[in-house]
Amino acid sequence: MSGLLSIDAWSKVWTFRGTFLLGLANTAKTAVFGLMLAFVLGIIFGLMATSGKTVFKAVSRIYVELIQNTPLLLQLCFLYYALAFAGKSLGIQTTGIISLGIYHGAYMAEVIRAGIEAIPKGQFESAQSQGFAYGGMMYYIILPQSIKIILPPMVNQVVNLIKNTSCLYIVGGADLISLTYSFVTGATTGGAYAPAYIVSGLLFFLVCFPLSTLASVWETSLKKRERAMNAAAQNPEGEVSA
Amino acid sequence: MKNWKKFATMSLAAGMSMMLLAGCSGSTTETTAAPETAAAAETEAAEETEAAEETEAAAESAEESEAEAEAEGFAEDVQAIVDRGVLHVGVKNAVIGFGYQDTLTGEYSGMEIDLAQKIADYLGVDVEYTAVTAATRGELLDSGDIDCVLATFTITDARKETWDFTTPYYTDYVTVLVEQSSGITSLEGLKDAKVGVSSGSTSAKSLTEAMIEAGFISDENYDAETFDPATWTEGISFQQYDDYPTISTALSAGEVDAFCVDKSILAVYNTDSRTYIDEQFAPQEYGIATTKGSGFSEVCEELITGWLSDGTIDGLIEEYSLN
Repeated sequence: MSGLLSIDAWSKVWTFRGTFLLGLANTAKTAVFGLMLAFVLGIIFGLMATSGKTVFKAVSRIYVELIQNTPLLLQLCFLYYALAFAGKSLGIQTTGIISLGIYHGAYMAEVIRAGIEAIPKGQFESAQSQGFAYGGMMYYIILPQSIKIILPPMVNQVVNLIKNTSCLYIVGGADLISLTYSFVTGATTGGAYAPAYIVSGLLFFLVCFPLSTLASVWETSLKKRERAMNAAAQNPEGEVSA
Repeated sequence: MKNWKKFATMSLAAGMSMMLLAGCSGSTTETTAAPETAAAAETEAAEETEAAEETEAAAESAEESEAEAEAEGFAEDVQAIVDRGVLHVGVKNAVIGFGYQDTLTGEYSGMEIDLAQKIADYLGVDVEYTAVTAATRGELLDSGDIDCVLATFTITDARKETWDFTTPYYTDYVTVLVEQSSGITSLEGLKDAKVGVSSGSTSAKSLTEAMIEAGFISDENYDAETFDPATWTEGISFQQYDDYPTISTALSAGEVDAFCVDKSILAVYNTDSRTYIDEQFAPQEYGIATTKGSGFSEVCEELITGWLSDGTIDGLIEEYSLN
């Protein structure tokens, strides 16, 4: 039973590999749709927060503060049970997608707000003086500069969202964590605690690690390019070679 | 290259520390006579004033039976329980008639509670209940947090490989609870339904087997060895939950079409708007689970067979109207 090294336990995990893959697929599905919702909400509320319009700013603030200062589990249970007892249950997975999207949307909004606010005011002013409309200013001037500021915390949110699919466990989800738990405690499947949790953790790692690595590589390359551009700007004749 | 090396070293270190941890948990399970455990048990008992009072009251009889016990020559692990003075029992806390804890007074009642008390009386020790679920009871027993499980624990061949079970003290059946509005009245109606079951229970397997036997679903891909409720989707699918109230909510919400578990448990959730299907199947025998190969297993077995033959258990079944 105490079997990290027990071949039986590992072969049991292998026999039931379908369960883990199903869990991974469910987690991935929840995460992908949750992410799309979070991105949309994050961009809308992030732009609202930096729009300079009082009403927009207030709405965005209320959303962010309300969501950031209550636990995800509470929001999930609230959404699930409120809808369930109203007879309009959306199903566990959809409920999970919505609550994860709303929760991480608030964090994304903050990330985007911070990224935009970090750009010097002069950039906005000069863009406007050049005749850029809001959309053009954001797309051509502001966002390209803020992306390297936004990227690291954004990926952090993505990784967190993937891991937070485990919250579905509380309402009986079929995500990777829930299925791992059911697996180790199952009547026919139970027992292989250590291997099962290691495999489950490994699957999470395999998804999340490349993401964070990709982000840091991307960030480094953006910074490098910016340095190169700055150097070029300071030495228009190209005297300095890297 | 350098990064890769660093990463490899780190994962190696992580792996090794995990192995260390696993080694630790393994050894605690085996050494039941650890003095720390006894000390911890004492503090725990002291915290619960109620339990402490009981200990005083039972002190006299305890001394007597302790002497008796020594004379009988208990196995090492049983002696450890006697020395510790407290028997840790895993019980259900929401199954009326078996193990139920009154939320106001904190008092436990039920057939399994009485049996646990009787075992403790026999050993001359105090009893301490730990509420367990179908999912946690095995882990807690393995980790040594509890000495035995009396928690509507169904005896199966697979489980027998992991734990010791006594002769069954009760036989239950699996049945299915549905909302009357669903129109489901029998096994046939459950075709293509989504059924809520408890993680770690045998209900899903029993229901699938009953459906196969009745010919409502094909047994082509069914393999008793590798059946997993999570991945089974042929003719019936399952949603696994950690506790019964969540399944009951899911049934109300329409998240699942049916709630399948032991009849003794379903009784609690059978509201006016719900009904059982006609069939009941898969007789399940409840036994006391103990650590594999421990001396305590033999003690429990002896006690249960004794109580079965002298009518004590029949009396308890009668008392809690479980027949």
